[in-house]
Order: sequence, then C-alpha cells, then structure tokens
Amino acid sequence: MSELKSAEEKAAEERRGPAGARRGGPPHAQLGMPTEKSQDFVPSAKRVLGLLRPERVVVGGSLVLALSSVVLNAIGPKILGRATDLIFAGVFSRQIPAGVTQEGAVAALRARGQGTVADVLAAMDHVVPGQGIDFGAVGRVLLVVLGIYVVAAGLQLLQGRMLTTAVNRTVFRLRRDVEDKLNRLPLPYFDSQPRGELLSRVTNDIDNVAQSLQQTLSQLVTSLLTVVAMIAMMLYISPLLAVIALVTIPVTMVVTGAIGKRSQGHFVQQWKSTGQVNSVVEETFTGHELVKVFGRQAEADREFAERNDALHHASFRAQFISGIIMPTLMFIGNLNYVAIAVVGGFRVASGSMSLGDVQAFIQYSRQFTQPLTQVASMANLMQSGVASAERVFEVLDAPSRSPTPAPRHASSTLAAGSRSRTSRSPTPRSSRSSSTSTSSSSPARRWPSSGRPGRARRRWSTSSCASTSSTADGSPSTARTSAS
Amino acid sequence: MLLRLVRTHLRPYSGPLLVLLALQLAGTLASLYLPSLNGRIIDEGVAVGDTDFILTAGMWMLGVSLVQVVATITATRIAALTAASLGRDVRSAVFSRVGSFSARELSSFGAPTLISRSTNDVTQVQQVVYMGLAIMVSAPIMMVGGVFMALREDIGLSWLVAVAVPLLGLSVGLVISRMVPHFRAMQKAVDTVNRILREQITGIRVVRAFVREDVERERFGEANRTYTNTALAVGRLMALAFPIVMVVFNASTVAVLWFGAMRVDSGAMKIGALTAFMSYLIQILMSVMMATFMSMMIPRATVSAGRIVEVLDTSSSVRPAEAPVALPAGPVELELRAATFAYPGADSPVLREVSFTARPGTTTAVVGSTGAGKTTLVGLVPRLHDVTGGAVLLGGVDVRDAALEDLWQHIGLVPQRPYLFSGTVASNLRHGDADATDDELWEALRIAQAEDFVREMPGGLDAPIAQGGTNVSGGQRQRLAIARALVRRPAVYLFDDAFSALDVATDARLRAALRPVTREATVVLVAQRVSSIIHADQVVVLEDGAVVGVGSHEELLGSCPTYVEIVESQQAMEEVA
Ligand SMILES: Nc1ncnc2c1ncn2[C@@H]1O[C@H](COP(=O)(O)OP(=O)(O)O)[C@@H](O)[C@H]1O
Ligand SMILES: [Mg+2]
Repeated sequence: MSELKSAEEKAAEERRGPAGARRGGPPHAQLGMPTEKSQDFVPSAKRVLGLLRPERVVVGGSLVLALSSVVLNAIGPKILGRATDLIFAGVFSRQIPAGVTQEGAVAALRARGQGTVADVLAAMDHVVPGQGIDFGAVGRVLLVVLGIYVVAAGLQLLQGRMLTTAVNRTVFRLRRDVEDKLNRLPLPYFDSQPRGELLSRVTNDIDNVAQSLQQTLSQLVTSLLTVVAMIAMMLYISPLLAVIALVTIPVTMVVTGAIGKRSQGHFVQQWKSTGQVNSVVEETFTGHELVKVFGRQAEADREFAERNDALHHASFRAQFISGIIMPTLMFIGNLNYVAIAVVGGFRVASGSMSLGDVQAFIQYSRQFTQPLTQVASMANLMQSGVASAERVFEVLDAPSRSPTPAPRHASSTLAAGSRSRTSRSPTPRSSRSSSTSTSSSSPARRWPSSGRPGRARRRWSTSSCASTSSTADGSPSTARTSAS
Repeated sequence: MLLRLVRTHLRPYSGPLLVLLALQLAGTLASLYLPSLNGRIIDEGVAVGDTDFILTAGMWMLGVSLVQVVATITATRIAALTAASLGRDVRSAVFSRVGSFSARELSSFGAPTLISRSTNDVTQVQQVVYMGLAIMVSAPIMMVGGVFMALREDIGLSWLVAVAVPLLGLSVGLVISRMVPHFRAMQKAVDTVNRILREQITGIRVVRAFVREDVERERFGEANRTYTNTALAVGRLMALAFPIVMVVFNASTVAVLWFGAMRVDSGAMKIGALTAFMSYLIQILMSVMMATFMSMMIPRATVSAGRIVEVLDTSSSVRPAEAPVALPAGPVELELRAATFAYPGADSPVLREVSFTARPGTTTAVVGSTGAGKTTLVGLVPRLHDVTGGAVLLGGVDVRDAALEDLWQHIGLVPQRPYLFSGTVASNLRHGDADATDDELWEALRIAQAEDFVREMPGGLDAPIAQGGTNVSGGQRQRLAIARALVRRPAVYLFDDAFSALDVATDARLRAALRPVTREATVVLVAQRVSSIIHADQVVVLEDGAVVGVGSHEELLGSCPTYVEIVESQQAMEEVA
C-alpha cells in the first residue's frame, strides 16, 4: 500500500504516523507513535460523539450490557471465594470429632494453646463437625459462579457485536459524507492546499477516527467500569486491604508517568531516524542509475550506514524503555500481592477474615491494575483520534461550491448542522507557512511538505512498544498481559 | 523464510541470546515460585496459625519478585538490543545488495517495492523478533515450568491442565485463524477505498469536466460497503475472542475448585496446594493465550521476510570485470556490434542486433516511437544492464572488460527522468566532478541555460534542492541534470530525451552552447524534435528494437519510410503546439 503513496502523503504521514500502525495491535503496541494534540478537544470530541447519534439506541444498549457484564464479572470472584471457604471449613470440620460443637472445638484448641487456629475456626461458617466438605453446597456455589461467568461472557459478546456495528455504520456514513463533500467542493479548494494533505485527511485521518472510536468506546468504558467495580468489591470485602491495594494507583501513575516522560525523547528520535533512513533509501533507489553512473554509491553507503546506526540506537532505546513498563507494573503488582497475602494471612489467622475473601481479594487486586493502565494508554489514542476528526471536519465544513446541489443522500446531512461554521476552513491555515520541518540534516529534504497546519501543536506520545510501522493487523487488544 | 532470515542474522548474537534465555528462565521460574509460596502461607501459616511463617514467606516472596523484575528487565534490554541490531544488519544487507543491482534487477523489482522492503518489511521482522525474544520465548518455559509445578502440587489434578490448555489454544486459534483472511480482505478494502479517493482528488478536474460525480459516487459507495462489511466481520470475530478466553479461564478455575475439593476432602491434597494449582493453571493458560495472540504477527512477518530474502537472493546481472582493461583516455569511439538485449522473462528481445558506430566529435541522434528501445539502448553503454548478445565497445574495449568506475568516468548521462538528489544545486553538480570549482559549475550552468534561474534561487549555487528535485520545475530539473553531466567533461555524452521539457528556443540555445564543449566528445542524443535531429551527423532509426535506418536526415528522408513517418508526425505536433 505504501508503494502507491505520493511523496506528499508520505510527508503528511510522517507527521502523524501511518494510519496502519494504529490499526489493531495490543494496546501497548500502539503507543509510541507520534500523536498530536487536538485544537479544541472538548467541542471536537462532542462532535465525534454526535456522529454516533443515529446509533444511540445501539450504543446505549451496549453500554447497559457492558455495565451488566462488568458487574457480573465483579461478583464472580467473591462468590468463588465462598466455595474456597466451604472447602476450608470442610477440612476443619473433618478434624473435629462428631458430636463436638464448633464452640467446643474452639475452646479445646485454645486450651491446647493453639489460639490462632482457634480464631480461624471460630470465624468459620458451615462447620459441621465430623463431616467432610459439603459437596452439595460447593457444587451449588460453583454452578452459580459458572452461570454468572457464562452470562457475563454472553453479554460481553453481544455488547462487542453491537458496538462494532454501531461504530462501523458511523464510519461508513462519515466516509460517504466526506466523499460526497469532495464532489461539492469548489475547484480552488483543491488547489489551495497540497493534494497529499487532503488525501491524508480523507484516508488516514478517517481510518484513525474509526480506530479510535472503536477502541475507546469498547475499552475505555469497560475499563473504567471495571476499575470502579473492582474498587467497590475490594472496599466491601476489606477496607484495610483495599487501602493497601489502592496505594498502587498513585504508584502506578507515577512510575508510568516517569518512564513515559523518559521514553518520549527516544520515540521522537526513533521517528526521526526512521524518516532519515527512509529518505536516504528512497533517494538512492529512485536515483539508482545516477547513483551508479555518477559514482555516488560510496557516499550513499556512508550516509546510509550513519543513519542506520542512529536508527539502531534509537529503536533500541525506545523499545527498551517501553519494554520496561510491563515488568515494572508487574513488580508493583507483585508487591501488592505480597502485601495482601501477608496482611490477609494475618487477618485470616486472627479470624477477622475468611480465606475465601483473601483469595477473592487477590483476584480483584490483580484485575484492577490492568484496566487502569489501559485507561491511561487510551488517553493518547483519544487525543490522536480527535485531532484526526478535526481535520476531517474541516473538510466537511469547507464552503461548498455554489449552487450547492441538493445532497443525494438523506443522511448525508449528518454533519450539515455545522457546515455553516466555516471559520476553521483549512484554506487560511494551510497558507500559513512556517517552515518547521521536524528533522532532517539537510534543510531542503522536506521542502514540499513543510509549513503545514498545526505543526507547532504536535506532540509525541509516550509509552510502550516502539513500533514504527504497523504491528500485526490486529492482535486483539483484549490480550491481557500475564502478571506474577 | 522468516526462520531462515532470522537464524542467519541472529547468529552473531548467540552469546547475548544465551544470556537472555537464562534470564527468561530465571524470571519465569521466579514468577512460578510465587504461587507456591502463597500456597505455603496458607498451609503452613494461616492453617496452623504460624504468623512468623507468614512473615518469612512474605519476605521470600518479595525477594523472588525482585529477582523476577531484574531478570525480566535485563532480558528485555537484550531483546531490544538484539532485535534492533538484527534490524540494522538486515537493512544494511538489503541496502548494499540493491546497491549492487543493475538497472535490470532494479526495474524488475521496481524501486518502490525495494524501498518498502528495506524499510517497512525490515521493521516488521524486527518487531516480531523483539516480541519473540521478549515475550514469546517465556511462553514455552512458562508452560513447561507451570505444568511441572502444577504436577508437583498435585498429580491427581494434572488432567485438568491437559484439558484446559488445548481447549484454550484451539478456541483462540480457531477465532484467530478465521480472522486472518479477513485481515487480508480488510487491507484490500482499505486500499480500494483510499485508491478511489485518491483518484477522485487527483482527477477532480476530469470528474467535473465529464460530470462523472454520480458514477464516482456509485463506485465509492460500493467500495465503502465492502469495507464496512469486512470491518464488521473482523469486529464481530474480535468481539468473540475475549469472552471465549474469559469463559475458558473461569471454567478452569471452577473445575479446579470442584475436583480439587474432592482431593482435599480425601486428604490427598492440602488446600494451599489447591490455591497454588489454580494460580499455575491460570499462568499456563495465560502463556498459551499470549503465544497464540503473538502468533498472529507471524504470518505477516513471514511475508515480509520472504520479500526481504527475495532481494537478498538476487544477484546482479552486471558482474564487474575480473581483470579490467583500462579504457583509453581522451576521445573514444562508441560502437554497438549486433547488440541484443532481452528483459528477463520477456519473450522477445527489446533490442535486436543493433549496430552502429558513433565517432568522437560527432552527434548521433537516436529516434523511434515510444517503446522502440531507445532508453534501453542508452543504458547499455554505462552497463546499467548488459547485452544478452553482441557487444558494446568504447574505444575498442568491450565495456564488460572495463572497470565500472573507469567506464562511468567516461560517461555523462542525462536520463529520461532527470533526478536530483537532496542537497544543494552545487552538491548535485559536483556529482559530475567532486573537485569542480564554483566557476566551472557556473560555466556548466551557463551552457545548460540554467544560469539565470539558479542566480535567482535563494543562495544561488547553495540553493536547497529537495529529494528528487521536486522543488524545481521539470524544465529546470532537466537543465540541472544536463549541467551535472557537463561538469564531468566526459568523453561520451548520453542525452536520453533530455530536452523534452524545454521550449523550442531554449532547446536551440542549449544545443548551440553545447557545440563548442562537445567538439571532441562522442554525443548520443535520443530526441523527438525534428529541429534537434536535423543537425545530427548521423541518425539511427529504431523500430521495435531493430535498426531500420542509419544515415543523415536528408538520406533517411529519401530512403526510410519509418523515419519519414516520425518526422511528419513530429512536425504535425510542433505545429499544433
Ligand atoms: N524493466 C522492464 N522489463 C520488461 N520490459 C521493459 C522494461 N523496461 C522497458 N521494457 C520494455 O522495453 C521496451 C523498450 O523500452 P524503452 O527502451 O524504454 O523504450 P523507449 O525509450 O524507446 O521509449 C518497451 O516495450 C518496454 O515496454
Ligand atoms: Mg525512453
């Protein structure tokens, strides 16, 4: 695909990162692309959400489903903990001779100086002296849990399907409206800006909007809900342990922030180096016969080796720094795990908490850090999606040629409400020419594409996985990363 | 392909890779040890009320976590460094291989694909190698270790592992394998949509002029629908993947508790061991899932690797002479002796037994319709490709017997598509001769009729030139390319349609200015304009790769119908223009 792109498109892409790179990939692999800031985040984001209006029933329904499946998933471990408690109780019950009451056994243990075990036993429910594990009860609990999980998965499946339908239909309309608009734009509009810029808006930017919509809607909401649900469950089970677990939130934020900050420079460098290697390759291959006949090969080799080394260094740094995030978070998770295991162990030993609850708690504390990092990484994606949307809106908002033919599709008036807002038409912006070429050792390399709009606002995103080009077409972003 | 490429290029890094393996092993073992410690906290701490043990085991867990994080981060570092080094090495190998190609190999691949092979494709491979070393390597270790630890906790439950692992692998694998073809379809659909938009934007004037809006809208609508449907199919499969994983995970947990409860009840297993077993099973499933998801990257990287290997396995058809013969200094005669050339795979040769001689101090015009083989003929002289039959001689020496640098030093080539390199006007001209003075550069520019506009450019000789020369007009680019050849003061000038973008007056002035400097040189000039041809000492008429006439303008007018046809059509064109 890249082979068909014009130089201008490539330049536009260079500023934004290839759209393909944002397509799919595990969440941590999409970061590390340069993203840029939107101009007016809130109104633009609202307008993007406005695109979904025709799908509001579907979107609303899928949100309800998301909420239900999150709640079900959240209560699962708690109920599973009951099964553990039943098993634990059964083990103790068996050791108490039939006929002795639970209280009697506790008293006997205390008498023997086994105070701690006595506390554990005293706090237990379902102790039936002489009996082993109550399989009937365990089975019932497990069946309930299984039912809950299956229903939760079903809801999640349905939710995913509804959302993807809504998003794709929305993007379909957006694409159609943009194409429709192209046919209604006056010719001078096409001449007023580099072709590659417009092309990039109607292709890469729309792709990016689609991608961001899909991912933020499907993950941001579920992740946020999950975090809330997990925190609620943890507080419910044990406020003390919850406090320990919640300490990891600021720690995670600080650590991710610190690493992110450090990696930022490396990503910028990697992006720049990639561009420099690509330009020397492009130049040498395109001018191949002249490189040969004019004896330029040695010079090209030297230049290439230099830039290739720089890229090697930059991509190593970027990949390494971003690769640190996962093990570090894992370590924080493990610290948390140890703290909960130890404190929980004491609480169980003192009889103030059941073993099953500790187990459930550990599960919750594992499950809430992961969506937390996801929410953080989603912020970048949203930024870049809204920035792309703004560029698409600018095309939609450009004044049409007169006389305006009646829109052919009833719903191509989707964005019509704002069409009158022409104040941000791209024409004045693209005529602004501030030559701030992002990189390049030779001043002229990006002549044709320099001085494009919004350059100064551009930012480079941070965090993990230094992929400079597209990752696998879309390893589902649901790939959870293993901890411990 | 992927394996072969990666294996070859990882060989130099086998030392670090061994360290990486050891570290991944240590990290994985550490993370496998954690659940077992937690299990002991329950069995030996909580269950018997030994708080000291809980504390000690907790410290142990801390220590093990520390080992794990250090090992993993160090392994990540090695993985990143190795992958980046592999990327650099492969990129460099591709670059120098293409550098050795002749125009024949280059054109049979095409420059754009070679560019993306040495950049994007290499990045693909590098990425998958990084993923492999940083994450995938630990999956089998985790799997084996997890199974081992799980079995150590309780052999009686081991069959659960044997059921859950294939179940997860199969179900996720099934979803993924159904997704892969959709990804391909999706890529195609995206390309189609974007191509149509590109065509509409670049051809907007045509669309408007022929009132094709409705046709275009229909065409686009179709592509947009296809795209949306494919995206929906992918989206629905994706929506399936995660719930499946969750169900398998949760069902496994439930099953462990149920069957574990029986073992605990019968006294065969302690409850802490049950908890540990559960953690192991989850870890094993986790690594299966990671490996499966990561494996999605492999098909794509394999395609990339194949494209890279294809380049690396191709060698140039132009081999440097083993015992080079020096070309005579000074003016040389160019002779084509029954020169025949066929592109690889083509049925019929592009040039058939072309023979003519161009003497120093004379100009030979080569004419013929588009596709007659003129450019191919010109390329034979600097060995951009080699004859497949016959010979090309320069000063009596077969060009294949001369050293390439020696040969090129004798030639000033102005190609059909004038290409300038990024840099400045001066840096481009100095490709002709690195030691040329500024005065010599100005002199060449003056002859090439480029002096005026270069003086007007900001910086003059130091004016920046963008890659490909896209920041100057086509005619200016042509004149700069001519000046570049002039700076070299070569014995043989090859102008391939080099005046096509110039107006007739500039063309005439340029040819007049050229005459004194090329007085001793051998000039071969591919031309369209009759005015350029008339003054040539000799005209060679090509038709379908064969010479159908050699002689002066007047002679050919009388004897060569093809020539008459060409001249007439050119004159008709010039009158229109
Ligand atoms: N790389 C190639 N592979 C196969 N055929 C080619 C290649 N390049 C050119 N040709 C063919 O060789 C013939 C001569 O091309 P060329 O020398 O460029 O003609 P001219 O310069 O006279 O227009 C044409 O028919 C063209 O299609
Ligand atoms: Mg030609």
